[in-house]
Amino acid sequence: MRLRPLLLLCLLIGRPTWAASELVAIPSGAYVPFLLQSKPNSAQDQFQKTPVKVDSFSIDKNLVTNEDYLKFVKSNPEWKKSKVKRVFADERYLQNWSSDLKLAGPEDRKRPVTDVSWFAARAYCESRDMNLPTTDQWEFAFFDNGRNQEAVKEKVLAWYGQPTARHLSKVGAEGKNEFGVYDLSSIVWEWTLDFNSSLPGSGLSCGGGSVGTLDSSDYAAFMRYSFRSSLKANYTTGNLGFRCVKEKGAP
Amino acid sequence: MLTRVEKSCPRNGPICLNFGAPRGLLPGTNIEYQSITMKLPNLRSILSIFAILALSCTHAFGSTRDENLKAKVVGEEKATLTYAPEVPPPITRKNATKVVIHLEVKETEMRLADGVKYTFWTFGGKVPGKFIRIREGDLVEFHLDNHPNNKMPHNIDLHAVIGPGGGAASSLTAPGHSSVFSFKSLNPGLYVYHCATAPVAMHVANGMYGLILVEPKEGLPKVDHEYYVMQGEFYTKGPNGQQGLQPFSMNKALAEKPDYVVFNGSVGALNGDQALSAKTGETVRLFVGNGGPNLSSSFHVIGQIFDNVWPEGNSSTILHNVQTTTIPAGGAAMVEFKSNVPGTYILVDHSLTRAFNRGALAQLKVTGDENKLVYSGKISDEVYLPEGAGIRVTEQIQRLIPPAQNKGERVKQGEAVFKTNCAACHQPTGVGVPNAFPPLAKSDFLNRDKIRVIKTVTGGLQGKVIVNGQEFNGVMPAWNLTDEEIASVITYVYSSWGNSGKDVTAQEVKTHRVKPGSNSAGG
Amino acid sequence: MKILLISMLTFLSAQASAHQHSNVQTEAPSTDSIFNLKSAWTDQNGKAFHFDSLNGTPSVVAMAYTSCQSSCPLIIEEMRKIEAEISEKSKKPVRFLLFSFDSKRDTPQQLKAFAEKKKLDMNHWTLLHGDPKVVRDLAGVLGISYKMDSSGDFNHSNVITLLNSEGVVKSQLNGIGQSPDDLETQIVQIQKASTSAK
Repeated sequence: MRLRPLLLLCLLIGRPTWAASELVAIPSGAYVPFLLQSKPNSAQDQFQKTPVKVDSFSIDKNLVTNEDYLKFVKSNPEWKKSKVKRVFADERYLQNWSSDLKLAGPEDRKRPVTDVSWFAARAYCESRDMNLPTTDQWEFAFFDNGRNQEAVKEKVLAWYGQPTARHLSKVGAEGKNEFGVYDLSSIVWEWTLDFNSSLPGSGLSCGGGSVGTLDSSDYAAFMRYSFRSSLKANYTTGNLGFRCVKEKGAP
Repeated sequence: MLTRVEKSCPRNGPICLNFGAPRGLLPGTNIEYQSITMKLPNLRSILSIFAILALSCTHAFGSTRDENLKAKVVGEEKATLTYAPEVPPPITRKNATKVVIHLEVKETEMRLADGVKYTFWTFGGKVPGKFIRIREGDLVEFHLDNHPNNKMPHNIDLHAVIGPGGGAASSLTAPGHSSVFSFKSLNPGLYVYHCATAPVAMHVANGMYGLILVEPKEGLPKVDHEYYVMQGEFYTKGPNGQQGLQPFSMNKALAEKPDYVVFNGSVGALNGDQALSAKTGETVRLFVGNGGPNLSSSFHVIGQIFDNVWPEGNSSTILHNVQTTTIPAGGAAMVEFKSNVPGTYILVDHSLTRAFNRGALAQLKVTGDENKLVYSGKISDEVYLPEGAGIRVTEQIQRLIPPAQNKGERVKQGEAVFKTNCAACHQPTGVGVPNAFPPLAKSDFLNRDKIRVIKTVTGGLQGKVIVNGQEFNGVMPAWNLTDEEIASVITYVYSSWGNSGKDVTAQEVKTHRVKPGSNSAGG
Repeated sequence: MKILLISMLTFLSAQASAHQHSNVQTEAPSTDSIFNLKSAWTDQNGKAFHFDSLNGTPSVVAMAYTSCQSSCPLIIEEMRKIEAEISEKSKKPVRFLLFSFDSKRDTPQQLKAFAEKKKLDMNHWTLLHGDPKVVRDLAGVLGISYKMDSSGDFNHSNVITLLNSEGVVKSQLNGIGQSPDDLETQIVQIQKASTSAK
């Protein structure tokens, strides 16, 4: 007897239809990650620079915006900042929004959403039948098949060298790489699905060893990996946003 | 000290202790004694022995690691942190305590040089980071706060900490978060602290360094002024002086080629109105650190000598009378000196292009009474003429005899001149030396041409000559003699040894005189 | 039609208030609690496990996997040590849970065999299997880093976590060889607190 009202309820509320966010197809390929895999049980030459294979996938052309995230919160009230559980998002969650369902200003609509935790970002992606990119997927998209490496490094270092802007740029402002993905270098840091896959002692804190890294002069990469390893899943920061990926054949 | 066996202690004389030992035999001997007198050196000697011991003893300040480990922690206090060049006041408590430290990391754009801006990453908002002053044995509760507006994760490695990463392993902090860890300070000394998040060189190159002083339990000797100075280099995309906001240059950092080498975070941070100050008669202590990231410093204060240097920031060995002390990257030193003379003293890295072209220059202004004995300043300004130049020899030469009036007198004077100047080579009899010096006696060369003779004596001669059918190829020097003297010696030669008897006057010499070196043989 | 619609809505709101009543009996977990994770895990007996079943007892929790040769055996020994010392200090129950990283190989049967091999006291211990998503959720809450390597093994940080009776993280031992004394003191404190609350 309960089934009918529930069905009706579903019909009344309905599933939110997202304005289809544009996706970019990334072809399959391989790249050597910055943090090298260590070979088990070898004294010499313990790190292998074997490329990691990445299957083709689709990635959001743009970072998720405040506007996008607002739609999500409206449909998923447990993610309102007054309701969210601390175990899933810390005290600074959505602190730039003026209230649960109100942005600070109309200008913020097209700015990347920040002050969101990993749990929140993943919940958003899942609500669109997508997921957060793995570190490999994100780094592969950033790698851009090795094109414009020096220019990209310069751009990234320049971004690191500027203090945080009072207002972030709107999505798309940086421009796209040759894969067609926008804003990978210089607007916000981005969450990855396995941000916590850099182990302590892999040389990222306390001395930042060059042992086990692909290129110890790649300061930009050091920063990215250091930043990710400083995070916990419920952390939020004003410089950290995200985008989603869809894998082929993924449910 | 036992000098001799005496019957009793002499009344006047060196200090002596009369042990009044019981009558008996000295052990191991058959010498009888009534009293043993120990003759000690006199009072003056005693005092000088103490003085020598005191001066030669290096006072070891501080406790050992084990002692500090066991030191009881009493009470709790919040640390006073200061911006350079100020330091917190000396520690007066006699026990270890719990010290709570909050240090906030802030990424902020500030001036690096005139018209040049840089995004500094700072401990506390400025470069260098705030000065921390604790006592050995203290238990520190350290809060590293990463401001939410920052972009980067940061941590801290304090060289005063014994433990993984010097604290860095426990303090990696994302923006908007805070890490807490605690440590017990086991070793006294002056230590560097810095961020150690990968890539470490970049974090340090952006200004993330400071000093922590762990006072030995005795404290440091009292001085009138204590100042905090820290050297560091900056690597910018544009060359030194290029205006505007300059990003960090990784390539220059890797090549260790900085554009700026400065004290306290910017060019001129301690110059002009911001100069350090002291008065004459006062003692100054500088806590000097070197954040690097790469260069070692040759630290020197122009116009001063360091009475005391605690090298490497240690707290037990003091060097005296040091002009320039090396401070390695990631190291520190304490230097002390007394100000005797007023003026502006320049602190430099004595690798001089760093001081004069890259900004490694700071000022200490000393005011007060002059001390002419120590330093007089400029006494006078004079013209300086090096020896020999522009002075006419003839005027300097004292005339020993009055000028000759006639030929007879000339011959007489000439003989004296000949004996002094010519006889050594041409021989007293004028015969010369075969294959070396031509004869003057009955010399065809001499008698044929009087003017040539005058030119030869005044100008010298070199090259081949044939005299009396013999070849000579040597050098005759030019004679720096007066006209009178040359006239008299030539006249003498002409009237000797069968020569032509010609007369030569001073006027003729003056007329036909040539400059030295202008003659060559062939005449 | 309208009457039908109104009656539906009334019925639904009645349902909603009924739910509220049932909520009053079991309190909503506190905002910091792990019970907020609605993940579905399966224990070594094949039974479904939910985090809020831990309500009322403190629990010592770790993540490991059975094929692990290096650090996991040490984690388990640490937990056993705590188990032994706590049972001396207090007779009250403490639960020990081991959540596996290895979704593929550590099936409930595998976990059961492992528990028997290790002779774990199954009155206290629970070993759990979950799919990769819930593994990631839990690692996120506990602050554990891990990565699967090419051979299917896991590199991971070594963390033992104490949850209080409400599922809130009270403390963690990071790394092998940490002294469990503080953790044990806290367990006793938690147990005392829950007694006095009753």
